[in-house]
Amino acid sequence: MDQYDTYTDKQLFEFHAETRKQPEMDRLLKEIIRRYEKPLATKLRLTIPYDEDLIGQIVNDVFIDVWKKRRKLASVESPRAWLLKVLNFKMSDAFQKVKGREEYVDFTTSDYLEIPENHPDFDEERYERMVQKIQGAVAKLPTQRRVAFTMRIFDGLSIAGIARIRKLSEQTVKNHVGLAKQQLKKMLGSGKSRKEGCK
Amino acid sequence: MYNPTNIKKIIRRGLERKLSAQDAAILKSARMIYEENELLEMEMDVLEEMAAEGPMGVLGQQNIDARAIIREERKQYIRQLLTGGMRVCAGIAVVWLIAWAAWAVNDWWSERTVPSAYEKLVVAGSRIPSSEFACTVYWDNSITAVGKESSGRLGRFGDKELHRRDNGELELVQLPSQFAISAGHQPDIRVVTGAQQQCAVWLPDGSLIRLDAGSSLSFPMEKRGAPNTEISVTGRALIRVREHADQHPRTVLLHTPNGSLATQEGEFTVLASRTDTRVVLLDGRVEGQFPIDDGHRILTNMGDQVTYDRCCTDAQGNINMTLSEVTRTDPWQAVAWTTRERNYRNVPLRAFVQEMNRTYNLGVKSVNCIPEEKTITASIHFKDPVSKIYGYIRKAGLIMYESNGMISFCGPEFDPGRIRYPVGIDDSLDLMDVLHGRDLLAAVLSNQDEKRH
Repeated sequence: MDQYDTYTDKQLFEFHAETRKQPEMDRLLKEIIRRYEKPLATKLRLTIPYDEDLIGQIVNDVFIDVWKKRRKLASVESPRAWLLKVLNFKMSDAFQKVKGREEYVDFTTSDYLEIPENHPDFDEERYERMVQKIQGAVAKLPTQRRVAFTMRIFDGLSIAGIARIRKLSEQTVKNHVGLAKQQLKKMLGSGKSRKEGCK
Repeated sequence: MYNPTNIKKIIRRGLERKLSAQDAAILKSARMIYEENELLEMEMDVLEEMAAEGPMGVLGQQNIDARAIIREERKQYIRQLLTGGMRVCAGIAVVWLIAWAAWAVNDWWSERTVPSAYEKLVVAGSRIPSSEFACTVYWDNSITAVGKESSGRLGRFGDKELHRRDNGELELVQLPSQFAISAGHQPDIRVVTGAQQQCAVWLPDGSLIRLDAGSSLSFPMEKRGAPNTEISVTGRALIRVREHADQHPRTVLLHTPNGSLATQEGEFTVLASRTDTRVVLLDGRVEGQFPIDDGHRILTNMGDQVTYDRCCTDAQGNINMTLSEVTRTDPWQAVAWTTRERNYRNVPLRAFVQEMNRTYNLGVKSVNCIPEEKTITASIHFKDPVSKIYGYIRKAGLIMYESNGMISFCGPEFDPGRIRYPVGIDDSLDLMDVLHGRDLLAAVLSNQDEKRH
């Protein structure tokens, strides 16, 4: 069993950024590949099930990026989310190269996870009802959180903009919005968020 | 509804492309209370579950080699470096090319637009138009007559081509290296102007030589890369040498029958005959070297003039040579020969006849019989016939004697063998070298009188 098995994703990324020993760096990269090769390939296989070469190439590109940016990995807050973002970029790049091929266009435009409102049968009324439900829950939040959340989510203001209007620091606004979301999750669902990066 | 388990189920359905309209509405509203990273982490959880559930084809097992990734990243890095380097080189090349083009255009433009000292001195309307230029070009056994009607490429002389520009000026163009002559002595290119002809020649290095009538320019088939341009001129010429932007500036060396002139940038006229050389500077700097002690002169100001004269043999048989100091003269007079209309007001008759002899090739034997004090006033157009010149000379009181196509002002032909040597002259000397003009005539007449008695 490898010592890195016990590392969280965050620890793995941080250690990868800090170490200067080539064998360690190699092993850390190997561990990242071991953890994420399959999930990333799974996502690709669901998007382009017929092009194994392209899948292999894109996954390769993701890990090349990991290696290339290894010195900056310590600043990545959520390694799993970051890897998926990189994958999306690489996918987009690869599709750009094969642009015009109908099968790729078809698969990329039918991915409603990214933009759910693009769904052909998107239920606007139901969505409005859900928003009202959220607004109802928001109304029960403490004033500071409610105002910060409303300005950020419903009015679409930036954190800096809210901070300026409310005469608060940006970090305070971020905290208010974050806490509001935590509270809403509890109120609207079971609200238990997953522990970040734990394996 | 918004608990992570439910959201994950929706995400899974999304990944499997089974997302319902209701799921889409929930997912969209969930974005209000979940951060993007949280949703992505849930997506990763789902993907891990799916990957664990069943065989995933070729990538089911780990088949990406970390070492291959590292190698690939290095390759990409080197490729990026090379591409970047090439782009930088290409950028530098483009900048260099643009700079060179700008410099060349500027040079070309200034050559055509910035007036030379001569152009400032003589306005365009006063000059003999270059469309009237004509001359003959000799090279090896070939003779190329250049007339007013000639145009374009006129001939090839070794690794040089002769063109006549639209404005009538000639241009010697250096051909690419494959035309270079490798071995053996190559004859010079000679440009010769006859009577009433003038000619302008651009040399390959950008120098301009304008020849007056009865003059010649000799341009050697120099080797490539020679540090200097060497040319020879006899007769009268206007020379313009522009400064070169080369690292090692080229010097143009102009040889005359009596001495040589060197310049890197200068404009000057030279009057070079077998016996004398006169240089007048219009612009720049010219250094002259003449075959006499202390024979170095430097001309730096407009109108600077230096004259070298190799005249006469004295009673002891020595050749008299004189070299003037640098004096000042009217530069306009030095270039008057390039004008359409030449006006002579009380100029020495000898000088007038000499000039007309050069322009019209009159065949004057000697001007020594013309009284030194005689002057003439005349106006000559460059197209005037020779008869007009004869008219002026006769009007000035000179009697011309023609014999064998040559003109003499010394009276009828005589037999030198019948002349008695004047008292005090050694009879071993050639009488023609000792006596001139009226003295010689007097000797002849006294000889005839003696015989008559």
